[in-house]
Amino acid sequence: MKKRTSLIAVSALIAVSLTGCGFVKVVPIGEEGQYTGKTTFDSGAESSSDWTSVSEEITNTATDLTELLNGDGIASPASAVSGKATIVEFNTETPKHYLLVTVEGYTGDEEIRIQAGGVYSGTAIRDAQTLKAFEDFTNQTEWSQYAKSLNGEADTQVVAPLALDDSVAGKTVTFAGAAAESTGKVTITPVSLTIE
Amino acid sequence: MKSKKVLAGLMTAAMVSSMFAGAVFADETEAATEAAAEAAGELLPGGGSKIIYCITPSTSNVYFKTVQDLATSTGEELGYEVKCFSHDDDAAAQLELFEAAIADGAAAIVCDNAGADASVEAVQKAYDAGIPTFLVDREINQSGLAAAQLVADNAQGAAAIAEAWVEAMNYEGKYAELLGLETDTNCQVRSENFHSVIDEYPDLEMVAQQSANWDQTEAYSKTEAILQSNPEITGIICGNDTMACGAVQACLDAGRDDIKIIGVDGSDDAAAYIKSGNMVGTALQQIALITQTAVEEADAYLNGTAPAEEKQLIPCVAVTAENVDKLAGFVYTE
Repeated sequence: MKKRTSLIAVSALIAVSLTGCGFVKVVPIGEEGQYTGKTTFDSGAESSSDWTSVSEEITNTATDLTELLNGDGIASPASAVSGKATIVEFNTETPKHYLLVTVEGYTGDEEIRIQAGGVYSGTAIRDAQTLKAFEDFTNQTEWSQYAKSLNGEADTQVVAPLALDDSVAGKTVTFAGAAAESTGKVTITPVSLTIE
Repeated sequence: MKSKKVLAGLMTAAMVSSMFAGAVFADETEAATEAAAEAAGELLPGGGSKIIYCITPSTSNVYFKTVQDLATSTGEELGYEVKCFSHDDDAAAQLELFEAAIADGAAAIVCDNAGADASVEAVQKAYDAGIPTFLVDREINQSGLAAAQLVADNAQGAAAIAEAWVEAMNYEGKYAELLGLETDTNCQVRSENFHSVIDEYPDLEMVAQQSANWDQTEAYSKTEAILQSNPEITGIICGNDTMACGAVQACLDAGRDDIKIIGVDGSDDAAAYIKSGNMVGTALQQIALITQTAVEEADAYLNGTAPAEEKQLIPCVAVTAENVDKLAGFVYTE
């Protein structure tokens, strides 16, 4: 009798302990959202909630642009930079608007542009921040969408409020942002801009 | 009483066996063991030999030949024998090659795989046999099985060369797109990222989009047909260089040297067309660098040091007339 009780107890125990893995539902790839509540990746929501910390990090870790250009140069793929520059022109000849600027103390050949409206390009802001990494995203497409959405934030939060026009030529701009270099051109995507 | 005991015993046995029969339970035990092994920092020992297996798609594409050649030279330098095989993008053939590697006691496998989902089984088999796999070029949809996945950043590469193309198009005009094999992850990633850039410009209009299945001859005939039906196009964007070269030939044969063409890969054929002005550019996947790194990481792994990250994204380089001189044999030299 005693044996029988223990046998039942053992079976009951096994039954209970196996329940956790006994009922596993196979969920097809792409349909996880129906079960977890997680919907398709929303890069816009992700970048807008990260923007404050991303722009703070870039501002706080920035190196003076002149110092960088005269020293080691812009890192690949991007460097956090800041500084003061003179605006040569607000260029809107192409859909990629930018401020062409010069910085005091740099006499090299690199042309320096600050992206300022229209279509933004590159992944500099994403690449200069360290709060999120590729591993935090499902695949390279999401990682690239994240970069694009951060550029969108730069436009909404930094550039658009300035309502730039030709009158900025000759003025001074104080900036922080992420810089990328390619073929003789430094392109900065700003996280803060003050024009005076 | 005795028969009751036997019955109870049989019932218990039946119950337990029915529960154990579910593969789910076995998998979970395995997963738990793996997790424990990982937590303890244990590395896979390899199959006992000093042989590295290098398994790639067909070497009729010079890109994959580069993988095999560099795996061989790097591996031999490090004291391994390197055996190279092609799976021809057939997951079943790939599985057989993995099984051969296991039977051969391979120390490690370097693989440019035959599909993000279809390759999981093969990599799992090697893992279960204690052989570390180093994936190059393409990723698989599972983490924790491969010792490393060194992935070419196709998203960034496609976007970067699309930027150059948009400028060459002067931000306007009608164009066509040649897609790769549509079931291939890279086909989707490249196309999506071309469009993430191009679609921002309202004056650029796509009037034809067809698959040429990564193939040069097919790209030639598709381009020929597109030029007849849409002679107004001034640009063609292509998912790889092989198709881009086919498109260039079709355009030249039709007397259209005004068409702006881009590809992805960074092949020497594409480089020649960039130099002659027939192609705007390509996105170099640094496959030489990726392969070399993978073999070096395999050697370090077998000597006790695992790579810091499993998934490593290697950036592509946008190659245009401005920097094409730095490209040769899939190597970009600053």
